[in-house]
Amino acid sequence: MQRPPAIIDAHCHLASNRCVPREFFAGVAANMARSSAFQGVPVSVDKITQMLWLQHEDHMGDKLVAQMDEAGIARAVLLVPDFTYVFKSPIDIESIARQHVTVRERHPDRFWVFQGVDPRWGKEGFDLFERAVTEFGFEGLKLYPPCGFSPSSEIVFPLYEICRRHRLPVLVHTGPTSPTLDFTFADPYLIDKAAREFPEVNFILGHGGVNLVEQAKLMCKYRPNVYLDISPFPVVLCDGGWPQHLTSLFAQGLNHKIVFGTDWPVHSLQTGVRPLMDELFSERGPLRALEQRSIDGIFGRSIAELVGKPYGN
Amino acid sequence: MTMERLAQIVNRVVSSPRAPEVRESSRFVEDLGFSSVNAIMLIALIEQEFEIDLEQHMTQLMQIQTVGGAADYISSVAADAK
Repeated sequence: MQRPPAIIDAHCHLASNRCVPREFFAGVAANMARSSAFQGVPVSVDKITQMLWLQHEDHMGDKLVAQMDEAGIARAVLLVPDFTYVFKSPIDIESIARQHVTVRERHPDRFWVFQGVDPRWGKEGFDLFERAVTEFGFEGLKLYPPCGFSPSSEIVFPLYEICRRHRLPVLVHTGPTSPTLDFTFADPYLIDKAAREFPEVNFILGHGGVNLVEQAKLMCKYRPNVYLDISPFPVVLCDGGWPQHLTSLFAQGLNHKIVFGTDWPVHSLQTGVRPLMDELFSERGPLRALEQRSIDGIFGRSIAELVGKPYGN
Repeated sequence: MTMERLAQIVNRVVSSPRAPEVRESSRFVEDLGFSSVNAIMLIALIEQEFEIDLEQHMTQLMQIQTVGGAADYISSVAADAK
């Protein structure tokens, strides 16, 4: 087995608390507080929220690029979810977009960016997204339905129309997330109407290889324009752990629809990415039975094709 | 001294009966199986035990790989706090 010519992480984020409202961290902290209390060490939600907040100060992506270099990852897709509508945050989405422009300028050829826009911003948001494509050169759309909308609601269709016109992919979050958000809109099946109405637009089910996997797999099998990513595979709920889960996922004839992603910095801030890559590509790892074409597709070629870019070194 | 006190705290966080012995060279994730919740618990307990505030040290703390590395860092923070 050879590592692909260029590994591309199709799902990661800037670890910057200038991009994510504090309420998002507070939700994550609430679950961690329950767990730590059960283990005999009560820590308040506020304290954990502050700890998480202070861990996210990689505003220019330097730490992320160092991680990528160490792990042998050539390029990554930076996803920019728009939480600003639901949390009424002081952070505005245009500032966040411009921060990602700066990061790209600082690290040339390392990042593609999928801009998020909550469709309830209406025309203002649609115009911002189109500017992000035409002026900033961003490569895709990121949607976060748990903010409170279905990805097949017609309020989202103007964004898909922009994607159709510019031949851009859409990455849609699926599965549970911060408990401060609404999980009912996180079902992979909710992409069905949009995928049917916009057959020229390709949709990637973010976390589809980890959350609600049966639904995600069926969508990928039966909708030609639906894909899934495997982020954040290290935390999948599976008896045999993530290697066994991925071995099974990769054995189901869907590898042409699967793209690799880490979800950095979520879940891997402490471990780093390199140990995960080493285990993935180990001789007894979950790729051991795959032909080289599938490995190349999952770890780079497919996402490059989805964003319409050449693939290689 | 810091190492001994820290090892006791780490043992409290890694409460599994099958947990390996904590050494200076023990890596939090690979050897001790630390999760993100374990890391939060450890930091909270260190603050209590050593009576120091680690909030401003989060970025550095998350980059420390071993128990010995953490002991050295805590010693320097505690010394600065005096």
